[in-house]
Amino acid sequence: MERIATVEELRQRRESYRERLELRERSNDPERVVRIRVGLDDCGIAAGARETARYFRREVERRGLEALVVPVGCMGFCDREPTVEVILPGREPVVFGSVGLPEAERILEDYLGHGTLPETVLCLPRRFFFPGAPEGPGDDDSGREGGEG
Amino acid sequence: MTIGWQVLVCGGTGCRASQSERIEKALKEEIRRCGLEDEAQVIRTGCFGFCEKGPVVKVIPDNTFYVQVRPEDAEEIVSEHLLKGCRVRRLLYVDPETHLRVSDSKHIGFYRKQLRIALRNCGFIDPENIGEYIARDGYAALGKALTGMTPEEVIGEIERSGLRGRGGGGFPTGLKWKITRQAPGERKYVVCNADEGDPGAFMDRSILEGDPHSVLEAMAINGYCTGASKGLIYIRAEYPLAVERLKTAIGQAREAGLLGDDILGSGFSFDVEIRYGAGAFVCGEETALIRSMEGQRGEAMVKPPFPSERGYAGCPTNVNNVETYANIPVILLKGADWFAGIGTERSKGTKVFALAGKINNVGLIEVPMGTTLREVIFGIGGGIKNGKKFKAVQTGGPSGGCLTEKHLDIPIDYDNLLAAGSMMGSGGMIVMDEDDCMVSMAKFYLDFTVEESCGKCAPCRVGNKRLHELLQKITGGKGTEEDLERLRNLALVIRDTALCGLGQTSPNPVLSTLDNFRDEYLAHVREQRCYAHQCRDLTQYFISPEICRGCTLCARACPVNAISGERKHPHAIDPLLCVRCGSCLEKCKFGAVRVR
Ligand SMILES: Cc1cc2nc3c(=O)[nH]c(=O)nc-3n(C[C@H](O)[C@H](O)[C@H](O)COP(=O)(O)O)c2cc1C
Ligand code: SF4
Ligand code: FES
Repeated sequence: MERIATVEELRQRRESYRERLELRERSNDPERVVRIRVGLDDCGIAAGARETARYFRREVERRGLEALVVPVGCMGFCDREPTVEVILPGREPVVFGSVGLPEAERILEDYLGHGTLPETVLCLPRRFFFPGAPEGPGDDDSGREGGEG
Repeated sequence: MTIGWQVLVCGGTGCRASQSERIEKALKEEIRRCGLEDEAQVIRTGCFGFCEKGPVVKVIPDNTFYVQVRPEDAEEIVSEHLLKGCRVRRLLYVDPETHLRVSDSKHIGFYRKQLRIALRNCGFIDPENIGEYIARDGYAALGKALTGMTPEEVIGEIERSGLRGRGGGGFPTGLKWKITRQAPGERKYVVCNADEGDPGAFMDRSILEGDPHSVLEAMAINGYCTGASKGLIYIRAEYPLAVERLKTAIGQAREAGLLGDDILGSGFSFDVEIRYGAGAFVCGEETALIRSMEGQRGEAMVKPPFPSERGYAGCPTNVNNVETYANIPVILLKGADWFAGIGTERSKGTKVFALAGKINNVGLIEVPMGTTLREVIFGIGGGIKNGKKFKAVQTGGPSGGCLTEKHLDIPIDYDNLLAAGSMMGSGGMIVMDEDDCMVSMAKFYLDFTVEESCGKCAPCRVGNKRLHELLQKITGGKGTEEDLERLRNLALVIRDTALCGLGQTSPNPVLSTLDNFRDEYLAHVREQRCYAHQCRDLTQYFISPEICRGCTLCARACPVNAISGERKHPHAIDPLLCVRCGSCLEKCKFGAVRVR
């Protein structure tokens, strides 16, 4: 590592390493940031979910968004893949279906940018799919998993 | 391509012992094989504290906490989790109470109630990468002190924070810094005590392995405050990994100009060297430590003068413990008020404890001062193993005392533990259940003290040996009630007359068990019984003839052929031959073997 000669240089160095830590910091405190949960698994991947996830990641970084892209397992809407669930801090989760790259862009612009649901993307609050469901469908990040040990 | 996954693999001593290096390698290979190099990073961190469930692997961004991972599991972690987003359920932690699998460490009882200040970076950053430390505001406190604060202001901040030494004594850290600053002397030294001789304790090792820069930064801050330009870390040679990480960290800090001449353009120069200890408990005592660093015998000296006045090479020397230092940078960045807002009235901040013994979650934890023993043992520790009954907890290692059920609700801090007849010590916490014999326990700690006494003063050298002999007599079934009195009197004399902290505290396990478990001592000397069946000479194995079916299993298991009897007829144990190993008890399917 090059010599750090002043406090200002130390600050710059911190910024340049920040990115490496950003993912861990946000994961540590996910409720604070926007969570973009992309359903992968086989059905999602076949419909292009991997590309969608990569696109979100790249754009989050490029636009400097306070967001975390979390790949998850199958969310259960296999005919509407790729499915993406977006949770704005303090808001109800919203599930979007058939999210290719153009749809992903609308989600970033309209929903993350302005808090409005994009007209061209299929979206429904997830309670609609699972009435009364306290947690999200599929694998959730509440940290509690069902099932016997 | 943007990194979307970070796989943190524990690189602490515990997990490395169970092959975490091979897991790391396997994960990297698997990631390469699946073409995920651009998306997934493997990062080696320090200890997560949950060593017993190691090797630990944590996957970011969904915070999945995998335990007891084997190298063979790497393939599934990559192909299922990283490729498809599906967690590998069989590797998740199982809650001992609910029997449910828990995916996120935040929801594991062990972590839920912790507050990590000294351990803030352990299990989070790569300790061999100074960049990751800097990204976590590392060296910012040093920068702040050097360019924006006078030494007096820094010391004032530490004083107001209420931080007290974590090495055992609990001396106010700010005050120690002030005394060292005010001590006259051209040359001064900053010493970090990383001797950690307390059996079972490993908090200092974990900090040095997981976050070595925090200690270096704090030592430099101390140098700025006290006027020292040289720091010495006294570490036991038995900590090879911590030594390695320290060396790497020192090298990187020098290269970055954060150690060396004219740090951050401030004109202040400071450098750190490592000194190795041979692993004697007494060398953790500050005056013995200094003598050992000077190349002399590790013997304690009479205080005063204190090291802050006359220490290494006769110069004023500030000695602090590893954990004490690890708190310093955060205090300067977040402020004394923030720190003083945590903890109890006279003990501020948090304390790291090494939980061990008959407890479900063994490991390293950090909790706010004032947390009760009950919360630590039954909340974080997950209660007693195998549903047994809690009996006692030894805090403070060989210098501490045994606390019981009635102490469980006292808030842990320096003063409360002292008042209860134990002490904080460096933070060892050993939990005992109904199967433990308290007399044997006291004897075990005395074994240690007798072994570790430096021999300089008679009360400790001779007294502890005599104490040990008395305990031996009692556990051997030859003790009398007068011996209990002798035990107490001798213990008190040693406590009051020994030269250094080792001798002064060594009778604590005896005194506290005498106070809290007098009945058990009485059973040993009056009835010649050890109800926990730990004292061999007081235990008898016998076979109940009504229950025995004569299956011969026990006779075949006995290593000394003490069991005789015909097939299908009741067997019997010859008490003269029996060595009380318990093999027959384990083998018998009918519960015919009894102990008393
Ligand atoms: C027998 C004995 C062993 C000690 N062992 C250690 C030790 O391993 N590590 C430590 O930091 N302090 C140990 N101490 C306490 C040190 O003497 C000293 O008080 C401490 O390092 C000061 O640092 P602190 O104020 O930050 O706690 C020991 C004391 C005694 C009497
Ligand atoms: S109390 Fe024990 S360890 Fe301390 S100086 Fe005396 S003999 Fe040495
Ligand atoms: S060494 Fe891995 S959790 Fe402690």
